[in-house]
Amino acid sequence: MIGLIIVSHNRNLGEEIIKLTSEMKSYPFKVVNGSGTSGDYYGTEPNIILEAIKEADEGDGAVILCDLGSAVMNAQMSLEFLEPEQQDKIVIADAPIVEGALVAMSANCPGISIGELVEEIEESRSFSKLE
Amino acid sequence: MIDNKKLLDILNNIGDRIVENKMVLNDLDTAIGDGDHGINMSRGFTNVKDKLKDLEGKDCTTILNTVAMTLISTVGGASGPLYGTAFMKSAAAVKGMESIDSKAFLSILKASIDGIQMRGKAVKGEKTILDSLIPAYEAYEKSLSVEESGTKALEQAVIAAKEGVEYTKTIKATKGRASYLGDRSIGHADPGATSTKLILEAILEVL
Repeated sequence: MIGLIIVSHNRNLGEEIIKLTSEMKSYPFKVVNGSGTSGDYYGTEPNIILEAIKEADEGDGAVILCDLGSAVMNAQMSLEFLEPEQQDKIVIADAPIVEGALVAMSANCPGISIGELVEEIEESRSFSKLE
Repeated sequence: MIDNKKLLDILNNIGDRIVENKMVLNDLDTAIGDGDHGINMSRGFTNVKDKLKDLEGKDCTTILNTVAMTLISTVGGASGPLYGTAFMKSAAAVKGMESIDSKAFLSILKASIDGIQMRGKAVKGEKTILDSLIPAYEAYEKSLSVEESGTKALEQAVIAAKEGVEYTKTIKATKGRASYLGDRSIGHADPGATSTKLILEAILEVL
């Protein structure tokens, strides 16, 4: 199945986003925390994201959700370190991290294509909370 | 002409200037961002300085690539992938060269701009590193085109970078964390444009 990677500036925040949104998870796909740095400061690191991708991709690819600035840039950089054939199967979704993760957890199912899954996740960008 | 030994001296001096200006960069970033540009850059370049000790005798590309990987893995914030990509592209720009002449330095500046634009998707005028780096490149190129020396050209580049930093005070940020502030970012110099100016000054000091 398609894996999911959460890339936040803070490892604990990433962990809690996974715990919170896993309530909506219906199938046994991999969800891996690629958040934080190797030190005690906020941020992200390509190597940490790269390891998370390798763990999350069981062969069908994976979707990455990022919080802010450097998370996106470092995720893109980690993709460049992958073999070209794996690169095509890993997609960064353009969506808010919590809502996106929530949709990913509930929408990911056997047989769904990575394009379909990313499209569903990205629809979370236009969810209104008040209407 | 910058050979591999001089390149190490330059990088050491960049490291020193960044560490010295840690609080200056932090204060600028506190005004319009998340207040960690100085700490992040200082951490990155302290690690770079450490790595430089093992790079004596290595070629320019290996040295610049090591700087790139060190910044990418230790900076933490957005300046890590941005400056990391700039150094990585610079390393590729001087591949196979024994030393870096003024023409090669021009290609380093161009490769850095291209790398930062590829990574950050920014253009000139968005209150970023590019607002000091692009004018510096243009001034350097112009100076070389009228047969001035590499040192003279870099002096011009530093002047242009300083003007670029001043210009960032007048514009609104539309990229990065500062873009969340909208008009409130006007009136403050961009920390990234400032660190780029510091790096160019540090190169000039050793040249």
